[in-house]
Amino acid sequence: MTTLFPRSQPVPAARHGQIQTVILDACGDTQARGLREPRLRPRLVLSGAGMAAALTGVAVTSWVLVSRGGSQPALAAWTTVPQSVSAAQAAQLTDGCTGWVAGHFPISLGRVASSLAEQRGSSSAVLLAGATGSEAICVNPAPGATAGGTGVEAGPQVGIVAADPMIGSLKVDGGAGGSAVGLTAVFGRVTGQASTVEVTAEDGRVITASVGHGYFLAWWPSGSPVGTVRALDAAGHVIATAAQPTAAATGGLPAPRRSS
Amino acid sequence: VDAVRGQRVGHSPDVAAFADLFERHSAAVYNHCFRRTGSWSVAEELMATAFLEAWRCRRSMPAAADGVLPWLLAVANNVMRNGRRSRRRYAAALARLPRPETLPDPADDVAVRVDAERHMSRLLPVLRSLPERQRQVVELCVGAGLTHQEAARALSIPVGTVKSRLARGMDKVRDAEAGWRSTDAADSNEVSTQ
Repeated sequence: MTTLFPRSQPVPAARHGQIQTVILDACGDTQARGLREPRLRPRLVLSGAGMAAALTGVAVTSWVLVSRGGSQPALAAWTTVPQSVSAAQAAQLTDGCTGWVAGHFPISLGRVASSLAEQRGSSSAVLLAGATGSEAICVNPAPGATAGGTGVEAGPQVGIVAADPMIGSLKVDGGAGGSAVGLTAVFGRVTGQASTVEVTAEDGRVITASVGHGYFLAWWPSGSPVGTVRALDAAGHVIATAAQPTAAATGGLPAPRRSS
Repeated sequence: VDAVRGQRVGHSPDVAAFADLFERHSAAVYNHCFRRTGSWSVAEELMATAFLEAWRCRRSMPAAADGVLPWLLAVANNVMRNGRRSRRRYAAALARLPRPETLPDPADDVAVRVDAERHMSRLLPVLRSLPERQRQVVELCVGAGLTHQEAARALSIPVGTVKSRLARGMDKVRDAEAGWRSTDAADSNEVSTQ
């Protein structure tokens, strides 16, 4: 290449230590003025949909996020492996999601035929499968904040794990330099042959999905899209893989109804 | 190892891991800031500010190993773009930084640093004459040595766009560089024939 720029130099030895000390002291004092993490500001953001679904035409999804208050501290406790929830919590999540979906999407779930609820740290999520073939998920990254999506199953499942899971890419305020913090969620059908479903995001993190009632559900607090979805049997062997395209496209999909 | 470190820092308030990150990438961020400003002393403060900002926003740090440095450079760019606001945010922390010694450390190659500042004083007007989007790509790919993919990630643009902006930007820089080098050669000949 060229010698356009001067050769790189190390940080002067004496200054390196001084700067490092100042930075690490400040980092240790997490409540120091100016060093508090960015807070999520209330805002409605709409984004994303399942590109795979759009391409195959077997399902459509739409996504909406309403964030109220700071979700960032709650997201800090997010876990890659979900924890189960009690029956009472599941019922509460189901009711909450049913009402939330009705207020944000122009679809009717009808009677909730099955639900799959989970907890990741202090955040929760639930997938609802309606008797009409419609599906919905609600992700609650923090109390008072809900992100969600809906989809429609338009055909019988083929394969062990759905080759076209529904993917939602959502963004909320609060990132570096005023940028957005992303949440990504994916859900789809899976047969009883699979004991575990693992989702690998493109940023490399591996998320264990919740599995039950013929569905899987996973989400993570970043905008990194889905890389692959793998179904594993009880012995831990991979029995099916669905490689996913980037889930950023919205073209051709119905826009979710805005709400404030 | 980098991925593991990145993940630890990105998803838990782990100051020790952040120290590793500083150790690993502080020189790259420092030199990036120098290439943007042409001043080593200004680059020191900007580098410190960029790391404070990186700590504040650590949860948006990518977990993938090859994503950490592009992300840090993007944070540094934001700090430089928001100069006054960023410095105000971290004024208290930066105030604890001792003033630089008047006498340089013998371990530092002072002459090389002076030459570098002189070089940048001529290069910066050329770079600043480029459209911002071309300048950023030249600084990241040619200056910081990022791959096209890494620069694309840092700037959130497609790889193809990085390549085309780099080609266009470098064409202009080479033209300008050739101009000043021929001026230097002419000046040098003039001096030697006097």
